[in-house]
Amino acid sequence: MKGIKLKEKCPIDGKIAFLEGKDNTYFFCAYHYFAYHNLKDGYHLWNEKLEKKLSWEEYLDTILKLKDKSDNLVGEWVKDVISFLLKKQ
Amino acid sequence: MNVQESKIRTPFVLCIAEKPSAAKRIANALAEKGVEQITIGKESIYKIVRKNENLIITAASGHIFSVVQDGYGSEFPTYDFKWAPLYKKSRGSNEIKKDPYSQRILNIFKILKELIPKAEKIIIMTDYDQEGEVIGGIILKELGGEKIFRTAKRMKFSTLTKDELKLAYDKLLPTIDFNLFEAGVTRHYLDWLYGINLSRALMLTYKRETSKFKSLSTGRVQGPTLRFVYDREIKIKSHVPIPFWQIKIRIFIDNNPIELKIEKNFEAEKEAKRKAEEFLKGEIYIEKIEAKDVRISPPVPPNLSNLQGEIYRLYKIPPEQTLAIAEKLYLGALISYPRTDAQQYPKDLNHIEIINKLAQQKNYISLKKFVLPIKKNRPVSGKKTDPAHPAIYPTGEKPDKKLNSKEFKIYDYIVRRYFATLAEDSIETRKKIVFSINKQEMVSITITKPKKRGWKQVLNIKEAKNKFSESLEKLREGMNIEKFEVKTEQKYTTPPPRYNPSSLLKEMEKNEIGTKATRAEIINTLKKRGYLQGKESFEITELGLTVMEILKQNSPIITLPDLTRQVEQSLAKIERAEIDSNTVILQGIVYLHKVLLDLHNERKNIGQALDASVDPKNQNKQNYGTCPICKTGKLEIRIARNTGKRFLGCTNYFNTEIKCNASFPLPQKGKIEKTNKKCPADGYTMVKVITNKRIWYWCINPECPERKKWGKNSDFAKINNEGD
Ligand SMILES: [Zn+2]
Ligand SMILES: [Zn+2]
Ligand SMILES: [Zn+2]
Repeated sequence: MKGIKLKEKCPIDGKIAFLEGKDNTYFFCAYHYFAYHNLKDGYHLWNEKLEKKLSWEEYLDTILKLKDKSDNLVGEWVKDVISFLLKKQ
Repeated sequence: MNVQESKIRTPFVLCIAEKPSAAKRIANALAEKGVEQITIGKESIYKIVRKNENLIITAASGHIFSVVQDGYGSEFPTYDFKWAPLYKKSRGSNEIKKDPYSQRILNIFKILKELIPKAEKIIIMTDYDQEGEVIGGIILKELGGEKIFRTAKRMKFSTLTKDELKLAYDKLLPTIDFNLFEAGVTRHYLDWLYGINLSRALMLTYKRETSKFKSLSTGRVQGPTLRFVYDREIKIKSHVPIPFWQIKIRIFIDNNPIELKIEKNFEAEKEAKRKAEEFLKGEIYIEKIEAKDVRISPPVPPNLSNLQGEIYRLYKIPPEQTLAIAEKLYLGALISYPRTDAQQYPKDLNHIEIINKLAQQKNYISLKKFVLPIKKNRPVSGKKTDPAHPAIYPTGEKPDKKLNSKEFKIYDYIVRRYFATLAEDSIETRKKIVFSINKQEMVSITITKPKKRGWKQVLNIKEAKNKFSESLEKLREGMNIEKFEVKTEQKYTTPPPRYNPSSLLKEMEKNEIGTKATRAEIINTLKKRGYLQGKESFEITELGLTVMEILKQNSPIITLPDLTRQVEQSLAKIERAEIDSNTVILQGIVYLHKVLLDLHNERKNIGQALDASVDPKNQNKQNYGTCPICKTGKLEIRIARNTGKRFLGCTNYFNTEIKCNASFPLPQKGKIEKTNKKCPADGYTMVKVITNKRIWYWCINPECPERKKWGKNSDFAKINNEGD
């Protein structure tokens, strides 16, 4: 989890943010960045697998609700990122 | 009474056991007539006669010396070390710690210091392993000198039973095992070198970059252990569940619903649904039925980690506690030495005698009948060996005191496991029914029936019950299943489970990290440092995450098992006299130095990262009282952006309406602590300033009429010290 350090702070926890790819919209800290990355990868996978395609927001919402199924299913940093993204909209 | 007054006359043979309770057992075992107990301070030493010699049996208390820095100050890096008694307050000083433990160590130290030079002959009777060799060897070197160290005899034993102790006394080894000793002390040196330097590197960086103090540590074995938890935590905390599908078929036999699970997972919803439809239209029949008897051998004689694992699984007793209790049982002569890797009993162990003795305890009378005649394949043995000790087994002795509940659970398990290793195989009949699903998938159900319980009965293992086995028994090859349902189920990928005390211990063992004696303690240290939290499953803390992140980015090698494994291999080579201790230590230092340089080069980033996790924004910052300017904000320590100097600032600075910019300079050296004191001159808040040299109070008011006066005047500081 090494990247180019930025002046920006992670909007979720105020830690030093990292810039890792070109397509970055948000500057998260290393952990939240990692979770964000997994979320984006996951979106493609979900839509490949499901019959009914989901929008990005529907997808985020579905994942966030999955946590009710089992507390350990959705990673904590993933939940942080989803809450942040949904609030942004 | 002191040693002088105790009228110990020369000539005598001095015997040094590892712990007081072992000394007492040894005295009782070896005494030909009576045992004379002499009390010095709170320690007992025992005087006995054996083979016309006077024996004085005394004990250490585990380690009474430890490795410390040779020299003053918190030099960094520091590579000079020496052994010093544990009761000393700090290196170099002669001050003695006042707590009861240190007082005891001091007393033991005095007794040994007086007796060692006077003894005609010395026998080391500590536990026979690396640590035991170090405990005995260092006492000899530090209190007796090189000649005594070279000539003292060694008694080797694995249980504290009378028979074994007497036999061991007749077969004394001419010296301690010098190679084992060298390997042991080298481990202590390396652990000290890595521990102190890496910890100081973290703390100094933190202090330099933030002017704050925090006790941080890491070490040669701590690093890789924390890394396991860290790697897993990252996976858990960033896990995004991905869906997959399973097809479940429910068949009905005599109207009993029986689930058939197709092993295959379906990656796409469409595919799963299509398959399910096909199955529903197709037919299910019984392809074949196979029955066979399966023999299951008993579990092997347990080593320490087997015992810790089973006890955790059965009773949730944490591994370090299991070790502590097992050690107590060993000191009570009830079981053999527990710090062992071996899964084999001694070749000449008298099983008949142990079995007969155990059968005298009413709990175990009934177990005797399960024991097979001792021959080639009984007792069973495992693969692992240990040069110093056999597997853990009961001695057959009866407990002289009633065991408490946890002690009993562990003792009872050891006894039953011992009987199990001697008992008959367990035999079960397994009937496998294979269903053909539409000629595409084969799904099987196995029904097991116990044929002979054998060792399973000894260990009280419950048999798993098969649901609807009566209905399943009616099925014959070629039969068609008339009634069934097919459905798809959406599932999600799950993150890996968190480590628990037992699985983390196993992971360390698998990666050859630490020793059987130290693993549980290392996990405990990580908890004490605040890097891990949780009892039954370990979660890494914010601080643990940061410390690991820093180590991983700047010196990954100390977070990986490789270095630790290499050290273990070097230590094993010292034991076999294939390499000398100095070479291994030197290699260690060269390596360490490189790591420290890496950390030093990254100090700015490390300081910032630590600051963020030691003192995260959302956590309560220490508050130093109400701001005397705006009267509503609180004062907290901040660092000036332009100068890097620390000062007390008001929290209302961030409040856009008030924007109080009150600022009070602070001394730049030393640790700052809050107090409830008010300055006698102007009533302003006072803080405590702690440096290596002194502690004093500081009025935060820069205009304080008295401040200049007492800044250097120790009298004023002293007055202020009173009543604190
Ligand atoms: Zn963040
Ligand atoms: Zn203020
Ligand atoms: Zn004042």
